[in-house]
Amino acid sequence: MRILVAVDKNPYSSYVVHEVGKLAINTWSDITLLGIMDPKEAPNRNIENSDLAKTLLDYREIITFYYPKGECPYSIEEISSFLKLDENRFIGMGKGGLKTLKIIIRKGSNIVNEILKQANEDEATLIILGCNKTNGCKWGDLDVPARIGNQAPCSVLIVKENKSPKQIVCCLDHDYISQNSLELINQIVTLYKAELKIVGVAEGGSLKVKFENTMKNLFMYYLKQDIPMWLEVIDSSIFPTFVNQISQENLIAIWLGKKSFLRKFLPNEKIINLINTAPSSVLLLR
Amino acid sequence: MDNTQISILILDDEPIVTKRLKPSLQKKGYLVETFTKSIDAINRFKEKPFDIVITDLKMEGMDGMEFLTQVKEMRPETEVIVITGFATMDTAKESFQKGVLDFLAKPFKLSEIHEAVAKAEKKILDQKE
Repeated sequence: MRILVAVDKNPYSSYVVHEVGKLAINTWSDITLLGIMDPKEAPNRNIENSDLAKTLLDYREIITFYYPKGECPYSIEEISSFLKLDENRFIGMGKGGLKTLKIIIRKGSNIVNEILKQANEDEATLIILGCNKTNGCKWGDLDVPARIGNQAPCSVLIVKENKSPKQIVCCLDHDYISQNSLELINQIVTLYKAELKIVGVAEGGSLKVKFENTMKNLFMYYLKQDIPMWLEVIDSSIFPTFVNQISQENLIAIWLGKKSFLRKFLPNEKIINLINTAPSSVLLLR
Repeated sequence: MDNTQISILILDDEPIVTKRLKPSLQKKGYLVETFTKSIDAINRFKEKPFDIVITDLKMEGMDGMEFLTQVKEMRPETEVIVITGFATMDTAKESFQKGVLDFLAKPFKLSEIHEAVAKAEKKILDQKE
């Protein structure tokens, strides 16, 4: 698994790094810690002396601290300088290590574009970023997490708090469930030792045969994996309200492929609103 | 047939995983056999020593950890790559203690598997020299 962690200097990013640390200790994922620097504020030389670089180095240390001494799969070598990859990208990485933990600083005025570019370059499986739940999930004035959640080519976890969810509520896309998204759910359930609830949406009070089969197949899949799960079917008319209620206490996961059935009930603006207003963390699966 | 071709055994109880990995590794020039049951995989390994084994951990019957333990006992020079959908710190640690080369949590990109296999191939070829 390749995780792209997009961070800034705000405290919510430190919560994110702790969640990444917990996930990494289980999965030994390759990790990129990404910081975006406004070109107007970027120093011409010695980027390692910038506040952003120092913050990223601190975050790197937090992740490696999760491992007992001598068991860290990442290089713990001190990074004293960053290598310039091109005019707008810098990399900080220690030598050795079984797995990759690198720091990337990108210069760019469009934060969302820079995160998406890095996700493509890394072929990231998952983007993780955070926000403060009390300010509408903004980075400054921008709803960066919501835009990443909407536009990313891979799954996105938006962390809003540093508490472990007791239940993962997954809203099912009837048309296509990717193997990647099932596997990501498995890792998240394993990480939090949380209950799993799969929610299907029925239209006009009736279930389509195909949808019933999908639910049945998922039930059998999780039974085989020995993961206890609940199934719930709700009517499409109450879906947006349901999503809002669920997100008060649980980690909500929504399957969002390009042509997701759920897009009918959760168009872009509602997804952005959900991400911005949900009190708990949100996982968008692709 | 090229005698220097690297052979790979893939074991995963989900056919969708083996179906995805087999053609992508064959395209890279490897000899690939896939199995969804560990008993079939271990029996085949007894007949034919593979250079590289890619195995899932959580499976019915003999699990992946037991399978890779037997593989390493029979042929320590076989490089093992673990792929798992239920990664934990303990399984990662135990895997490396048993001598696996790499540990990949699912979901992964094919390029991750390609990199891990290339690393295993390099190690095998270096040892042969």
